[in-house]
Amino acid sequence: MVMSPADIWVQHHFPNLRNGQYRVTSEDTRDYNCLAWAAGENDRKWDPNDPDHHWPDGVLREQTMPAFIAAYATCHYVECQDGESEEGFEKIAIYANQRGPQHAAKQLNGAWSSKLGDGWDIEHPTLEGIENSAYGKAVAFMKRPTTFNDPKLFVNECDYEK
Amino acid sequence: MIDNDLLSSMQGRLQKPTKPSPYTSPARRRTLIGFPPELQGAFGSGQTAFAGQVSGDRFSGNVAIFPRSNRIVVNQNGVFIPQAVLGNDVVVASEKEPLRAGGIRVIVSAQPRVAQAEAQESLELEFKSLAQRWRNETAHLSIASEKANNFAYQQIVGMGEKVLPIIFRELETTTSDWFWALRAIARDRAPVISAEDRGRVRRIAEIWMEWGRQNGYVSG
Repeated sequence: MVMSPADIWVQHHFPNLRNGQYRVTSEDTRDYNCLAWAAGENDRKWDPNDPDHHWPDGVLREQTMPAFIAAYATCHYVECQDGESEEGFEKIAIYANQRGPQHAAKQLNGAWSSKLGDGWDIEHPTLEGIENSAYGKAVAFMKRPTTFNDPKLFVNECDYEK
Repeated sequence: MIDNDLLSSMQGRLQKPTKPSPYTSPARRRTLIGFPPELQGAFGSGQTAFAGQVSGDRFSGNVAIFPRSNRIVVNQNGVFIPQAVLGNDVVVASEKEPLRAGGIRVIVSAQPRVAQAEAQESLELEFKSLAQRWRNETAHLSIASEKANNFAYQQIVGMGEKVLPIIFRELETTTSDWFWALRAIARDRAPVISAEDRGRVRRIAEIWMEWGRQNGYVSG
């Protein structure tokens, strides 16, 4: 079986996915990154360190877990215990290694959804699927009621845009 | 009173090449092989103190030197260079056995613009190699500083201002994370990205391209 360029790339960088337990769900793009994707955006990049990229107003621009949690709190997420699926809530998971937070994934349709760097969005059933030395492990979790993702109820998901 | 040592030294310096070049032999005195016809007439064989082939680390080709007019012409790989430079930043035919013309050690440097073009081409090749390595090693990362914390990327930043035209050419076709490198090189000259535009990579690329045009790093 011939692998697609996306599959070759994904499995090269994420060895835990070589079991094939994932699905590519987008084209590759550099228009947004994982941090933005987890916050529900796909038209800009979030980055605490790069002054050219977005970071919520009033949140420290630093690559630390408190800063990341504060950033997603502007989108009404609150910290929670784990990444287990909960009725009526959507969750995000923040990955970190010894250098600090590196990646964020969001729960979508019962699975996890990640934007992988400059590459593709994928759906992965387990958080462990994308653990590696660059991303580290999923170490912090946040949740919010799914109603915040309902455009009939909320025009903007995040406080900083109001 | 004649200083014998000085005389001996001068005689050594004035020594003609032991093996006469075919370019200056009497039978072919009026023909400088490898040079265009207009040059033959323009200089005339009688003024040619030396003509021949030289090769070194940075130059190889045919050379003719005209000491009376203090000019040198070279023909490198079939490219005629009418005004090469005699200078210090150069290539020597051979350190052990330097060519001599009228007792003057012949040092040859290709014309500056040719050397610059070669240097630019070399820089571009190095950039492409480093950029590819950087992409291979960091394309799966999301945070700009993590991507920039890569040895290949840091070498690109270390190239400094001279790499800016190459980065801008790259920016015309890709939205890779070159903003970090641009900002690191431009420093306090870097454009301000408004809060509205932050994170929008196509818009940021436009802003940087405009800055590149205004500062002469982008042609056209």
